[in-house]
Amino acid sequence: MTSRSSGGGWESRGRLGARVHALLVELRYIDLVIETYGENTPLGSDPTATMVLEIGWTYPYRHQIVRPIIAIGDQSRDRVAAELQALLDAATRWGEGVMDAFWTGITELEAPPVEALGQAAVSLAGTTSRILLGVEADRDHLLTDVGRWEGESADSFEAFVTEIGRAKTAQVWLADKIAVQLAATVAIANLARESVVNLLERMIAELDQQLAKRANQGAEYQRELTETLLVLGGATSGLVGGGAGVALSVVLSLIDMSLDASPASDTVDVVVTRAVEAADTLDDVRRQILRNADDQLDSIRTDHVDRIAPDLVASGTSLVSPRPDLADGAPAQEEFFHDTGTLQDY
Amino acid sequence: MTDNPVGNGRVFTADLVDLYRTGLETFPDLSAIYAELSIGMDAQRGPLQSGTATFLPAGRRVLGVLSALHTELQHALAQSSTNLADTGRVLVEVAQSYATLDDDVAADFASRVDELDPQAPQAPPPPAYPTTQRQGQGDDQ
Repeated sequence: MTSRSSGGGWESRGRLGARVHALLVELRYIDLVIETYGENTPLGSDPTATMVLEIGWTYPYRHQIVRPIIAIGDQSRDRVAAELQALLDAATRWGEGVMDAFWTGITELEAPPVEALGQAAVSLAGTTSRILLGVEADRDHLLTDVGRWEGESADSFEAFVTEIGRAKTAQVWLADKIAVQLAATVAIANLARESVVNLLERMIAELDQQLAKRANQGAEYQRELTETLLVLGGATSGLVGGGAGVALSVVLSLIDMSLDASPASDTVDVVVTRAVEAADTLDDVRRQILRNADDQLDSIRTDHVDRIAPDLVASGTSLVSPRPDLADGAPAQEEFFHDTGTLQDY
Repeated sequence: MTDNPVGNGRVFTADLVDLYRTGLETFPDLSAIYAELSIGMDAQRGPLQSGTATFLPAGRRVLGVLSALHTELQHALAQSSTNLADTGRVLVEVAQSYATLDDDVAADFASRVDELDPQAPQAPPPPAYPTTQRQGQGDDQ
């Protein structure tokens, strides 16, 4: 089974990250309490040697502390409270360290101006259309305008206009290539971001489940998660942020062109039983997300981007529309068009 | 088909107009399209360059190459705009040159006609009408 981002997208990462942080700290705190004071023993044992405290806040967990306490008095209670506070502080510091490391790694996905790059791809697609439509129409117009010219002058002019058309074809080809590969790059960045959001959402669900399990203390857990797999990559939906409108469909079509198939979805099991394990999973999956994105980008570069310039050179077509040599000096009729004939022609 | 590659008589005049219009309107219009395209591409440069500096190692490499290609395309579009504008200017100059030559030939033709037939009839001077003619006719009656 798979898990998909339920909404909010990349913009919600801060809120989701804060929630993961809070749940991680809470679970770590409870795990530390259990490690420090031992597993719960059945309530009702020697009342002089135990005390029951509620630990945590999402699902208040009742832990029965069993220790060689001579008497449970205010002094002992205060001492335990201080110990618990120290455990909470330790869990908080640990949680901050885990999340700081997580966000530091994610910086490479935070920084790229993905929306602006997506818009650039769309704009390039528009450039292609304008070159195709505008230049072609004017080229036809050019040839029509001189349609009554005959002989060598007309031939040379038509050849000149044909060269303009060839340059146009090369320009369109290059604009298309840049737009498609740029869109693919944007897609990969967005897929990685989507994976991060999936990871955070999945982690929240897992941590929440573990806290609930501890609160129920062995009671049959009612909310078993049915989805245990986290999906990395996959669908290319939601690649451009709000307001893209038509641009989104253009980018998506470009991506379809650039990626024969969407990047294969990697799935990872997310099984969390303890806070430390959750932190390890968080770190492992983050690394995998970044590694996948880096590999996919490298594949884009070697398979497509690096070949664009050589292919353009191999085509032998100039990117630049021609310019008549005589533009450098005063033109004479015989340089651009054929001779003007003789007086007898008049 | 005429032997003269640029046409004869009235056709020659019409062709000059077409040539002049092509140089004065069509090529500048085409040049303007290219200029707008190169301006539009310039606006895309910022995101590409900032992405180059920040996006995963492989992302930086990809965007670096794409940015270079983007620059090359923008340069080509800008250079095409200039070339097309120059082409239009040249066509206008060629058309004007033809027109000047036509005027020169016409003048030369008139001059040669004068040389060949110095006794050719001259156009009569414009008639002069007496300003009081109607009043004078009335007096005679």
